[in-house]
Amino acid sequence: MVDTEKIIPYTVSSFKRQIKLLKEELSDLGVKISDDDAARISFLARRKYDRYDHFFPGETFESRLLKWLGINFEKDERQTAFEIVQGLKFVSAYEMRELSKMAFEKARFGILDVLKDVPTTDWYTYIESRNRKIEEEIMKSVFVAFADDIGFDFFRRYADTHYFFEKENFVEYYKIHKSSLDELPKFNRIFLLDQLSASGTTAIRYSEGKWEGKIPTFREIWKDYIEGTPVYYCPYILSSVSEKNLKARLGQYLQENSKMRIFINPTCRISISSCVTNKDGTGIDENKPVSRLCRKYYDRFKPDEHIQKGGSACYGYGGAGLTLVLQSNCPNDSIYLLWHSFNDWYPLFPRVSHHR
Amino acid sequence: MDYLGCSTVPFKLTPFDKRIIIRPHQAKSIENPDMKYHPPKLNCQIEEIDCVCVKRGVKGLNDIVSPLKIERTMLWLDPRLLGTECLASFIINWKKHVMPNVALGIIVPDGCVNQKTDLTYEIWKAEDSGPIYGGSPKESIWYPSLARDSSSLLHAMQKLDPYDIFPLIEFSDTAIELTDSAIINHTLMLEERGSRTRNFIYLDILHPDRVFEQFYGTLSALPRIISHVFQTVITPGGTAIGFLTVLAAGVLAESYFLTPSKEIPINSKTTNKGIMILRKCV
Repeated sequence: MVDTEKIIPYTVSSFKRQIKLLKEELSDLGVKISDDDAARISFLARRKYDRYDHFFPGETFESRLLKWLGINFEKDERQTAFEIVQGLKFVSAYEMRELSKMAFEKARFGILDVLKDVPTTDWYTYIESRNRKIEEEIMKSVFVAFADDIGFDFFRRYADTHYFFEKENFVEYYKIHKSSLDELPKFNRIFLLDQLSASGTTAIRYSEGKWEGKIPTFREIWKDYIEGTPVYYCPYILSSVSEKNLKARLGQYLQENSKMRIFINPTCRISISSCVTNKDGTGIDENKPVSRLCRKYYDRFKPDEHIQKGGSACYGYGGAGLTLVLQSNCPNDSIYLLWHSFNDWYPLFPRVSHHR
Repeated sequence: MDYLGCSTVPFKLTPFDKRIIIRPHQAKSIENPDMKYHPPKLNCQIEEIDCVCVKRGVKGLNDIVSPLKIERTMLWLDPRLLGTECLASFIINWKKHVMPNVALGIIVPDGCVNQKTDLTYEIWKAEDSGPIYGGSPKESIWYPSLARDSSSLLHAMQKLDPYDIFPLIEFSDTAIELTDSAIINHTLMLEERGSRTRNFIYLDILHPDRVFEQFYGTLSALPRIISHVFQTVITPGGTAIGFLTVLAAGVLAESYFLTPSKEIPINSKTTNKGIMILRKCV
């Protein structure tokens, strides 16, 4: 072979070869895809999926995909299983940082909605007064991490580049000793920053006659400090299933805890994956081929105590029906066929559980 | 830049504020119903001026505001029916020839901009006398909007032959559903030039003031000492708010543009989404 025929990695030639090989290898497994689909998967694999945090060094999405399809599924099921892959929503570390920035900006813009007495004499007076009031008000905010994977360090530095916050405006975890709450600055509102709310179950649920979850726990710890203060629950990603559940559960919860004021303020929304959703996108269509596949292999899945809190996880924890993968981990709200490793199941995106 | 996300003006207009109508694009005499201009409701004086495309130089822009040397005032510009080059030239005129007490209020329509999908991309730079075509930079850093049509963008890339590409990707509350679609439309272009994923510039179009701040900073970041080697070239697209924010940042940073010739990005029938206010340090 002469030098000019060598294919150099990360060039357009290697990309074209990757597309060709992927198509051939999938075909051998019984999966037929178009050139466009092969290009799409190869591109996203190179740009995003290969960077999944829990792949071994040097391991690629494509190698896992072929193994995942080959080991786990019968030949006539692989085309259906591939539909899950076509519906993947992968959030890269870059995109997660953007969501973090956007969450701060949303908090800033949210303050605008409640600003009063901004003089409207002329444009200059209006803009100057508005900007000054936003600055005053945002400094009277406390940002609380509601999860350990929200990129809070990045969030805080981004916020600090725009306003002169004190260190105490940021609370690194909501489970804080009550004595530390005395050190908080004077605040008018609290933003609870979460990475993902996919079913709403981790945030709030009613179980065995009592309210459980992060929001009731937060209230229990913070109650002497937040009476009448608006609290904004800000997941970077909110699923349609969670939004519905949270509205219903919070409505009931607030009736019983009238002194708490809490509002849902998501940064980005995500809907049930098209491979399992019904026509109007409001729930799972159990007759879809992927739904049937989920049911078929559910006996290989071993729901732990935490998973059981959300009911059946046949379509992901809490029935969220997602095909969402975060670069840092695959949420258990995504279809379990993607991430579980019980009973010799080979996961496409191996998940590290928070709850052990 | 300040952005007000409201369809009507939330403050009182002063007797000195003026709404600019740019002839011939926004003239009453145009008969074609699709091109008929529907002016926004703004209770202030109207000033008609000739566009740079018919009369080189927006002569008179300074005369319009020159009596107002002390009062803070605002020129209102509606981008509907203006060509990209015409709009850019107006903004650069405001930057270069209008006093610091005069702000520029740009009405931001809703929806996406129209894009020509032909192969008439031209390199130009906004000047106060009008766009200067040609003069392609020797080495360029290209910022194309991935909301544009893939084949015409690929053609534009081949014409420009950039040193590096920093794709512009709009990011909003539906980002997780839509971002990948925007990227995969351009796989060939991005792979052909080995554009890095870390080069992707996400534009948070829900907060355009931050987009402006970030992108203006990006464009201004190239050290002046090597600016004769690397020049920034922008191909804006996408939503009207994303387009206008990127365009304004590019014009004010005195970047080059690479856009289809005579493209009219915003048509006459769009509704108002917000107001972008550009002002100099007063």
